[in-house]
Amino acid sequence: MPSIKTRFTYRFIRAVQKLNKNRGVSSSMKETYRRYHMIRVASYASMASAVGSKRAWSQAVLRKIRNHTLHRDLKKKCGIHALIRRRKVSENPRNNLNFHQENDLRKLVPGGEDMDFCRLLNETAHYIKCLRTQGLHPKTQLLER
Amino acid sequence: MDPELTNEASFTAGSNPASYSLVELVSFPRGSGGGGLGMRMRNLGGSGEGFGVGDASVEESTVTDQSGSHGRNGGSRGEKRRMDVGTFHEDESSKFVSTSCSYSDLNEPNGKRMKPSGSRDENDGSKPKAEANSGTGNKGAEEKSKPEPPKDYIHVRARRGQATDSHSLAERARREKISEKMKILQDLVPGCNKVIGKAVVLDEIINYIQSLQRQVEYLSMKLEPVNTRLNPTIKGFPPKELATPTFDVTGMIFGLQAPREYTQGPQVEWLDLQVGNVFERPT
Repeated sequence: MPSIKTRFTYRFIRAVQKLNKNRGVSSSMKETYRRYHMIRVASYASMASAVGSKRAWSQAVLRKIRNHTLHRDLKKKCGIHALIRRRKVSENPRNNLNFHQENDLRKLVPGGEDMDFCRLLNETAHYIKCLRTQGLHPKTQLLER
Repeated sequence: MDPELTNEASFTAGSNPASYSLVELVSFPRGSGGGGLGMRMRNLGGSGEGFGVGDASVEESTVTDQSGSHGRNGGSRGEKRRMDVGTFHEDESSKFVSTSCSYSDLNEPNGKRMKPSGSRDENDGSKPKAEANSGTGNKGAEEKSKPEPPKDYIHVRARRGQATDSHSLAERARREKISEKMKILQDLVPGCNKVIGKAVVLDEIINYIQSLQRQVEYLSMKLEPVNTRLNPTIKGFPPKELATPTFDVTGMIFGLQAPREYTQGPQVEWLDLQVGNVFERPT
């Protein structure tokens, strides 16, 4: 079973190659930004799909990408399931003195809004590990080409 | 030295085969000189065992301090030790017992002697741990445990002076889990080992995640074919992230106008190097 690193590298390189193939000739500002964003999305998507659905954060990333529209994303936040989860979560940190940091952390980690603090820490650890590989290996390789 | 002293190890092994293993419990200091009651009391506290007096095997006088602990088995078992009956009385022995940890199977042979320890056991509202390792501590007073056979629920040790109702137990378990995870995170994030305090650690973690995400963005920009023509020694990330670093993938894909403003704002000082080159090129 190949490691997460290799799976991510493979997918990411494939995605960038596909992007390069379809790239237009114009190099306007808009096009540049668009490409930049596509590459960034490809990076996160490759990492999330390499991780799979085992982790809550990767699930959240894939769900967001597949949902496409902002509308649907907003609706999900207000949906009944999200509300129930949020309520359960907010009951927990009554003892927590670090509410501010906890909130920031929840915003950073994908899918972090709906978990309790203990799970959030779990997901954060895994997310940090994957972010590191995401930021390092394949990009430097691609740059050297 | 008395011959009984040398028999100590064998005595322990032989006399208590079925109950808890004394070997690990009996870790009292050896060769502690002196004698008399005072020494004995201290050592008994160290060994963490009660002892039987009276019809228990008789102890030596002063030298065999440690051996006093073995006498507790009562008359039911064959003792190879001589207890100095004169120096110990039943109430004194109960005093010894009360300072050390008690064990339930000791209660049986040493009837009323173990009562003070028995009452102490009831103070322990939580389910005590099955292993009787408190004997290894010098003062067993902090941890009250009984070598009961482990039941099928989780054993939690209640520390002295802490509430033992189920709510605080659950709270404490949860807090321990959280601090354990925080330790893991501290190892992951570089430079987090030195700081102490949950708030600071969380701040560091947040900063680290933000910088990692910025790094991903930066490298994505670098992968642009436009940028590869530039000097690759452009290092460093944008100095600070002005916008909130929310994870917003959908915005990235489809809100092309909005993210353009988003990235132009905070990263303008960084992008100037590259965007400037874009402008200079003939379109």
